[in-house]
Formats: sequence, structure tokens, C-alpha cells
Amino acid sequence: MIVVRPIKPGEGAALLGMVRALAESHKMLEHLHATAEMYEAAMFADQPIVGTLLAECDGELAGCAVWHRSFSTFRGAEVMYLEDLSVLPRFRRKGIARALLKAVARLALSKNYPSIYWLMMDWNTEASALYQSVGAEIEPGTSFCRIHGNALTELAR
Amino acid sequence: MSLTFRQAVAGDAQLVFEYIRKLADYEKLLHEVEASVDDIREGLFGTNPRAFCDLALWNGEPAGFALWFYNYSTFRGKAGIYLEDLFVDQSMRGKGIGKGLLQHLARRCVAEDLARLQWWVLDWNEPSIAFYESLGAVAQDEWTVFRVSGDALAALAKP
Repeated sequence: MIVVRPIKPGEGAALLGMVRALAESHKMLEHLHATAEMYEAAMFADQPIVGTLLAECDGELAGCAVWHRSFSTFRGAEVMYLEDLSVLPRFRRKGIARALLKAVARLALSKNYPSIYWLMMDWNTEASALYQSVGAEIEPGTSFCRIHGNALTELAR
Repeated sequence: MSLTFRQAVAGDAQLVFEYIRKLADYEKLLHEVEASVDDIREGLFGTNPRAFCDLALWNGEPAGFALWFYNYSTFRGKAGIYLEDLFVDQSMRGKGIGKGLLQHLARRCVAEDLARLQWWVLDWNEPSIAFYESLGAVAQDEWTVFRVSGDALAALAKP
């Protein structure tokens, strides 16, 4: 049985394990610098900007969806950004990612967010098939830019 | 000739709304703007604001804006800034105001120990892409953006 629920204090380490599984699948482990303590501080702050749902499969922690509040100037409304969706390897192909997406959708509607958006790596055809099967659309014609590290410090001068 | 910045306040809602529409017009997306000035007032200056706005002033007069909010990186375990909108008035271009707004945000990132500054650009907008790359930004070409809304969102939310 799959149950999706909000993260509880003390589960930062479990969340880190799921983010690590995601980083490994994406061959991006060298970019993972977060600690369980950082997650605990962010998730349970007085006014958190980020939230996490955890999926349990037959009582064992199996996956996560991490989201944060976002704002669309075109909509004039808050929308939801899904930062991470991860299922531990041994729990894959059991419908857990879909259950997490459905729970995220319910949460978005309960908060009156008109849309949810997220990014996916282009090569991830399996995830793409899942996302399209739940009604998600690809936003055409956009590129995503990022400045960080030395370039960010340089720009800040 | 001076370039200064200040945080937008409730009295700027109309100005911010006009900038949002001018940017959408430049992007050929004005037909997609559903927001009203009241939505912007509530979203930016209400009791629990989600988004923030910095105005660029050229000799004290509004010349452009940057509208942004905090995001979160699970890989870094830190918050960052997502830049939703950046716009400089047509008559004020070529004075370094766009770069100034990005620098203003970059300084906030450094001051608040934020992991990164991120934004999207339309693929056809080559002048902006060249400008961003000149500042050291890197396009994350290997990512696809998904969105679910409207009927599809309601359908997904069903038990």
C-alpha cells in the first residue's frame, strides 16, 4: 500500500537518501552538497519556503516530492514549483511517482495554485512518458539560465 | 547620470503591472497575461507576499524592474533567487540598467548566502541570451520544462 504524507522532523536524513538516489540516477552526485541538517532547518523553519511529501510503500519510506512556492506574473497568482521527484531504486515501477504527483496536485489545488511546473533532463524519456500520461505539457521555446559560484560572485562586485 | 535601486512598495503596484505588460508585449505574449493590478498588489504587497520587486531608477525616475522570489535547491541545501521578470524601458536601454538589476540581485545572493540566481529566457531572444552569457550565466540546455494546469491539474488531483 502506498501512503503519501508530509515530512516529519527527524526525516531529513531519509530525504537526503532520496535526493542522493536522484543525483545518482542523473550522474550528478558531485553536485550534491546538502546535509540532513540543512533540510531540517529549511523544512521546519518558522515560515518555510519549501515543503516535502514523502511516500511510504508498505510502511517503508520509498520516495519524495519537494516543492516550493512560486509566482507567475502572467497569472498574477502563486503557482507551485516541483523541485524534486525521487523514488528509491528498489521501489521503482510500483506507481509511487504517480502517487506523489497526484498528492502534489491535490496540495496545489488545496492552496488555490492554478498550475505546477518542473524541469526534467532531456534524456529522461521514462519520466517524460509518465509526465505526459498525467496531463503535463512541455513548455516550448524556453531555455533555463543559471549563474552561480565564481560567476555569481563576480557579477555581485 | 545616476543608477539607483529601491524595493517596490504597494504604491508601485500600477507601475509594476505596467512593466509586466510591457515585458509580455516584448515577448509577443501579451495575450497570455491574465493578471490584474489587484492580483499584483496582493501577490507582492499583501500579508504574506510570495514575490518581490526591485525598481531601477535613472536619475530618480523608474527605468526598469526585476521581479523575483526565493527558490530552493535540494542539491545545495540552500535557497536561491528565481528571477521571474526583468525589463528595462525602451527609452532607457543601453545605459547598463539591465546589468545593474542583475548585479543588484547577485549582491543579494552573496549577502544572504544564496546558492544561485536562475531565470528563463525565450529561445528566440538572441540579444538577451548574448547579454546573459556575457555576464557569466550558463544556459542549462539539457532541461525540458513541464507544466500541468487547468483540467489536467484537476484530473491529476482526483483520488
